[in-house]
Amino acid sequence: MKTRILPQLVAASVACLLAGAVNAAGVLAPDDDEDDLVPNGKGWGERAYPTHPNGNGNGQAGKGNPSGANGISYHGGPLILGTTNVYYIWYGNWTGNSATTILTDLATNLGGSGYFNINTTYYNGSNTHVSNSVHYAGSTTDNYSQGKALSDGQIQSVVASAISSSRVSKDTNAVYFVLTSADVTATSGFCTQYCGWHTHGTISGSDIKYAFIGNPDRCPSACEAQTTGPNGNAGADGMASIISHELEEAVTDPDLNAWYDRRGMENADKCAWTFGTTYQANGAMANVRLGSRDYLIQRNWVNASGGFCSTTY
Amino acid sequence: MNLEPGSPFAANRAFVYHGAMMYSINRMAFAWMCVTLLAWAASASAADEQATGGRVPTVTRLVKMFTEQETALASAIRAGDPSAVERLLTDDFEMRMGAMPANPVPRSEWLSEMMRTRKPGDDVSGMAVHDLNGAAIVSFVQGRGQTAIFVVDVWRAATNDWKLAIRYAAPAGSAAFATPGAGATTPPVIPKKY
Repeated sequence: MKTRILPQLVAASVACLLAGAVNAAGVLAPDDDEDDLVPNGKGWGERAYPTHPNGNGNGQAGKGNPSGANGISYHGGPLILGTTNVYYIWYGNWTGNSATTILTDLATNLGGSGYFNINTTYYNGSNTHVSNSVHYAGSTTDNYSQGKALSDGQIQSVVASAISSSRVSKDTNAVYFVLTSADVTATSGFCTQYCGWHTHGTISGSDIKYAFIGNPDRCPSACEAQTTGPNGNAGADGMASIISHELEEAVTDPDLNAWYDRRGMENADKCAWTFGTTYQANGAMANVRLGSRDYLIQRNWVNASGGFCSTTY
Repeated sequence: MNLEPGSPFAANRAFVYHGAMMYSINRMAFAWMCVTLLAWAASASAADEQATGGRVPTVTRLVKMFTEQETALASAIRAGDPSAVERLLTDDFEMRMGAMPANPVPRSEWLSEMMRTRKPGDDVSGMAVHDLNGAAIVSFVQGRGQTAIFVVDVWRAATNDWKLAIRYAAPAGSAAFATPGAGATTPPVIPKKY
């Protein structure tokens, strides 16, 4: 009898250990007795809307699995699939600032990298995965058309103006980044609550995904990981990490109803301000090399193997 | 295993062939596994709640840092560890409440009450941090609904750490409450994620 029961007990113990390991890795999986939180745009999660526009009363869309085994859950919304196009709108005064080349190089070299490949672990309701393909599609400038203290609405106006005036193409498979110079602030919490954000809106009749990226030189202690950057421009180097953060969130949760955990955290939120193994580059810390440049970019959440933060996949 | 008459397992004697006996043993093993899994699930759930300690997504570096500070303070209070709490307070810490702004709660009384109740307050949300070079103004809401409290903590930079110097606390109220300076000109909030 011993020879028959022992293997079963051992198997049961192993099952428990494995289950424990999965739980440890994916500690943010929703509890059964708790609805998911959804971000409210103010920096924290709230209970899902009583009547979600695309789903049931729990704020969960009609399809998708809200209980993610990897610590993050799919809520039924669309993702950006295929090649993701990136547009920059340089707002304010960027004359003579090396940020324009540092950040353009970033957008040019993110696609195909091990870093962006992390996003291929995310998929939609048809099991179509995000592609490791990013195309830098162009840029434009905006000479303070909305002043130096921008509301959320004014930031959307900056994007709308760039599209409606054909300074950039209208592209629903893109993320438009409004990059502000150091003399510009955003009045809804830049430097005190956030360093950047992403959202979507109807612009020229289409669902346009866009992001705000403030210049961390306004508040180094809040939005820069280090006072010197690997590319010799602390503000631009700080923005590189924030752009990466918002891009991976915009791709996996473009309409704010796809991938996030029970606390409302999207993939990059779960690894914010963590960098993993670093090395020295030009007197600063770096952790990723893209093209010919080194960057210090925060890690992203891998939606596999229980879930974990990484700089590559 | 006790199979004597009258024992809880005496019925096993009724099984007349080995397969039936193994069926019973399998059931017991399965039950044992379920109990173990339930125990694991309960402990894992508790550990999860303890480890995360709040519902505030990290946004700026300072928000992340002071979320950890507030979590450490709350954990020390829950643990009933006065030494750990005191390490996070300045010597002249006080709390001021909106209902009695001119009558601060002194450090010793605040600490005594916290150690008695071991209730640091509900989950923190909506944190903002203003860095004023040596002092950080940390604002947030504890709890939700009518019992929500709006807290403003003033943390002072120490040699290698931050210490809580002043806590201002009052009912969070509602957006409809007339506050000078806030009103019809407040722009609509566009839903966005950080």
